[in-house]
Amino acid sequence: MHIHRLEKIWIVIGTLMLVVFLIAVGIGAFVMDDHPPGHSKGIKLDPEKVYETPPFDNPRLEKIGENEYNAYIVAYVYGYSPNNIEIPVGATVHFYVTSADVVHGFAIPGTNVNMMAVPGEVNELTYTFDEPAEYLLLCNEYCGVGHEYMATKIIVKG
Amino acid sequence: MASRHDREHQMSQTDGRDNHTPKDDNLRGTFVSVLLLGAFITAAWFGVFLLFINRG
Repeated sequence: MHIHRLEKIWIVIGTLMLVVFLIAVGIGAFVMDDHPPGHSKGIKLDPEKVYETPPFDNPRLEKIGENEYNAYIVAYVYGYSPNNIEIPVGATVHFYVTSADVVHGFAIPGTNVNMMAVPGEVNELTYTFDEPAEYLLLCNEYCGVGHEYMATKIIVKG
Repeated sequence: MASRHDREHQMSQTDGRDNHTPKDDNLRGTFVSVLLLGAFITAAWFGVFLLFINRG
């Protein structure tokens, strides 16, 4: 059968794209341990017992080093606990986030922090706040009638 | 029986269209359009990637 010259070129381009993307994703996932933002570390907890399961029985910001913090945050309808989190400029924060009820979002616009808060799972993401400002932490996953009000502040002082 | 492609091609040769059938022109136009679209998508991808790097 006769295949037009341009069609042959197009098939080659298409196949090349496929191979390049497969290799890129393959190396990312298996060699560089890339994951979607927040990736659950496989820690499972009973969502009905969130407030009884450490560390979420005491949602808090915890200093673990020189300008380094762990933030254990529970998302719920319709807010975050703890809220109005204050940190010094340059702080590196490891966010550990779960949900007490339905799926919520966990996003700080203007940064690369953007992941889900999933009941029964703990999602983790690390970010360094180099600019002093009042950052908005908001829910970007529809979670119910109060969804559009669900937000809090991260205040970076410096 | 010659295929439609071959018959169009024969007609074009006697016309003096010289190896370019209307179908060829359409294919070339489509190919160029698709490459332009691909270029735009690639440029937009790099735009977003730079944003991602700068916000890290």
